[in-house]
Amino acid sequence: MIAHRFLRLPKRPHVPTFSPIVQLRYSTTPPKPSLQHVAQLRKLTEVSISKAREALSATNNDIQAALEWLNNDLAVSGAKKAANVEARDARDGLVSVCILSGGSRGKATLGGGGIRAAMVELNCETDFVGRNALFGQLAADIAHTAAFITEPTDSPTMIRPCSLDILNDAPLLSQNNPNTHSSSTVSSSIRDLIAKVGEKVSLKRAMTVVQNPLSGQSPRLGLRLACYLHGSVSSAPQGCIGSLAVLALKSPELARHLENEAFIQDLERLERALARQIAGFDTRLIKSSNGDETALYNQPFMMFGGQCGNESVRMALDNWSKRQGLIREDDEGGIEVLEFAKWSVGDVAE
Amino acid sequence: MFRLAAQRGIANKLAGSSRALRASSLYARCRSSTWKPSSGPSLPSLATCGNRRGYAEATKFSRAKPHMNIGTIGHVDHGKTTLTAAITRVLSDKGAAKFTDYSQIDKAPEEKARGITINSAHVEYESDERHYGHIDCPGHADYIKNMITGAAQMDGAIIVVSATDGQMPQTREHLLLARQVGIKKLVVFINKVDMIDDPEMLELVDMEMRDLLSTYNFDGENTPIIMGSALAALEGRDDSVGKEKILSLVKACDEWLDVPPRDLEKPFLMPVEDVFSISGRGTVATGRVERGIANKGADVEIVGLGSTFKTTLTGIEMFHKELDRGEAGDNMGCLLRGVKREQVRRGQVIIAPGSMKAVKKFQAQIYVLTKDEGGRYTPFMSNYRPQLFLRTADITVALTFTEGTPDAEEKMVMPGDNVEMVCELVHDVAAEAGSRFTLREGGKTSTLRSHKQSNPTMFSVIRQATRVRSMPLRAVRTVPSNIVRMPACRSIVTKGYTEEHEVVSFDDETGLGVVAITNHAQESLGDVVFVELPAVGSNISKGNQIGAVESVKAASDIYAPVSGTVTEVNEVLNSEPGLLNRSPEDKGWLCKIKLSAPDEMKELLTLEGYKATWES
Repeated sequence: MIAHRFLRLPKRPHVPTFSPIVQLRYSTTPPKPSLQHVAQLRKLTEVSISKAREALSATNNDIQAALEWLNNDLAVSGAKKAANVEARDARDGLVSVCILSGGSRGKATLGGGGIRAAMVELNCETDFVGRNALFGQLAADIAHTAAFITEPTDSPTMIRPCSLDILNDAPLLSQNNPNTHSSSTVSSSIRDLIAKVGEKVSLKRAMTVVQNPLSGQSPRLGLRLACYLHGSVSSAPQGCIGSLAVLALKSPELARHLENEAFIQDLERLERALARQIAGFDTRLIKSSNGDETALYNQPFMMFGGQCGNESVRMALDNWSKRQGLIREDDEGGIEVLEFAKWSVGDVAE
Repeated sequence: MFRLAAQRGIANKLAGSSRALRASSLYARCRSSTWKPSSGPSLPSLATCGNRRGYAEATKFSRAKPHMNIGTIGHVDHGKTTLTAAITRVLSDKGAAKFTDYSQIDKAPEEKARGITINSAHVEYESDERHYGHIDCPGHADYIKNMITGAAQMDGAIIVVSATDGQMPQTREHLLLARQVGIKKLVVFINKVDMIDDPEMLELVDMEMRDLLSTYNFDGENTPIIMGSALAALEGRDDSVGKEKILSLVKACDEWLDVPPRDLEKPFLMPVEDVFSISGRGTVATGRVERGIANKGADVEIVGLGSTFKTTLTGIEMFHKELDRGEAGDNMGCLLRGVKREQVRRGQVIIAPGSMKAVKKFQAQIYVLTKDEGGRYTPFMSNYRPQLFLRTADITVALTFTEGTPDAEEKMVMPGDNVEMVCELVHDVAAEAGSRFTLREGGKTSTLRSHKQSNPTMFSVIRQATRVRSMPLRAVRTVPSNIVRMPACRSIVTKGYTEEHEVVSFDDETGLGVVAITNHAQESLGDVVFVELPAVGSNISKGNQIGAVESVKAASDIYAPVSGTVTEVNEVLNSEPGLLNRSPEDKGWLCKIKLSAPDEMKELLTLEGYKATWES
């Protein structure tokens, strides 16, 4: 008993003295973070000065610990910041497209000729942030994520809106290093960016195109994707206007054509021109029986360079198909625009 | 010499003068090359120049101070608007601004300046030194649009950073913007200093900002950084971080930011609007002087549309009256020596020699109007050929993307875009970096002088006048290169005329009077073939004969307009008497007299008085 009591004794006097010291240190003299540490932390994380100080104070000037502290804090403070800016208007930003598989090619194509792509619109308040690399990277990553996670379905349209709830909770799959497994989701990455740039950032809309190759049904059919982004600041496929179109190819000798590199190059040139035509003109539908110029096929195909400036898109596509030998004079088929989507930043009210 | 004397009568008859009228001489005082920037009479013309800044017209502020446009750039939460409101608040105490509250600025009204919609807020205020126009735009594109259209050019900027946050990731974009709109100097305002407890952190903000400024090629080391609280100033509390800091910010702007040169201080430029041939006088080009000052007799260069040559302004006329000088804002006619009417065309410019070059290819920043702004409906691609309107010139231009643009042949430009493009003109035109022009759809304008021009579809500003086409200069009348120019008169020069057609320019600093013959005499005499000069050192009194002149048409004596000692004679006239037909600056002078009684100048005629005598 005595020994037992003896053992416990030394601990006791410490208990009442310990906590005042702790309180003393935190209330009056927190370890003062040095300028160098704050500067270093800011270089590493782009957090605000006051946040960097807070982190260093809490971790006794230990950079590594401060980084961890910031990481944990980001969820809380980011959410707080996000709530603060929630009521604001975010009408600038980017449309970003990610094409994982662009459709039928030669035999050795990734995905076997199916199409898989996504287009997202990420908003912010000013184009200063819209032009920033952090913002562009996040927009690209979200588009990548959306294209990656979507499953093919049997819906009648190929271009389908992507549920924002599902996308928000999905883990963010970075476009640059697909192998890194970060714990952050799309919504938490958006929150982190809000904490960094201090503006409201919101994911406005997302759509995906996922379709298995049609070659299973018929070797004469193929699918292709065309996309154009206008007004991009960087080289990434993002800008203030984005268009994405699904094209169909139909030819008795399609497989032979698709193996021809020159044909593919010419096809891609035509696709880019089509996507530009959709983005550049007031295009709302594909075909219309009267001379309606909001119908793509009725528009003069001005974006296909000089060769057919006055031809309508419909005529130009037919002529192109014949020139390339996809179809003979009276055949059905050739190249056809099945569906398209055209988004401009801020053109849909919330 | 008897031959000269015999013909004197004819000459006098020709000139139609009588010495008896000399008593009616008036005192004339013409300021020549000295123009004082702060002097009163020049102000109205400056206000007219200000017209192109759409908002600067209706103002109660005096235009006596140099004007400068500045803007605020910064993150949305760092207090740009609060700062703007605070500046007007603090300065309104002195009556130097009208207090504009946060809510009024923050609305950023959509302005329709020249048909272009720009989101921006304008306020104005005055410091001790300057008058400021202050703009605040929400986005990058708005500032660029402002810059290109000239709706509100920023000559300098205040970049606002919060002390609590420090620079943000997008501060980079703010500085890039400042570079892009041509701002060379910035002032930094670190806001919200009352919200941090450790002053050491301010050092960090300071340090980081200087670093960043240097990274983007601003003078990070010397850029003034003011730390204060805009909110405190706005609420009128804590004067040490509030009001006082606002005042030091304004002072820093005064001291650090450079006022762009005013139009009157720039080299002379008059776009040619119309050309006339006036029998007996020669070719007259009319136009509105865009900048600078030209004096009668000045050398000028005519530039653009494939020909560039030099000539002399023998006369300046405005409202049918002859003037000695024309300046920015004047609508005037220029009488050009030895120029045929066909040599001058609308679209050319008359400039101070060498102050501008004709260019055929240059790089420009272009803003394409949206269809709501009256612009195009559809995009265009490389090699688009609209009409370019620069001052009075109207030239077809081909637009291509800058060298090195990837996929340039597939790139398109849409209404609402601002792009940098290479412009290649069909004819060359006088232009320089910063010249603004508009582009209109080709083929819609029928004639050059049509006032029914199609509306502009694009506004542009030249970024770089690359590949200046060097044109060989062709002087209309070759000026001998060995001629030494008279020293520029920096002091007040009094110019007086006699009825005998002598003219004397008296420089009150040197006390020397330069004697020449008047333009009218030059014209009535025709080309001079012989000149008799006085002896250097001879004392003469007013009215003495000091020389004689013989031309292809007539001969005449020259009488001393004033008394004094001949200090120098223009001996070049012995070998080249034709020089007497030129303005004094071109060695068309006869002799220099050290005036013994400068008051005699008062007895001579003014230009108007002189003209009245020979016209009557």
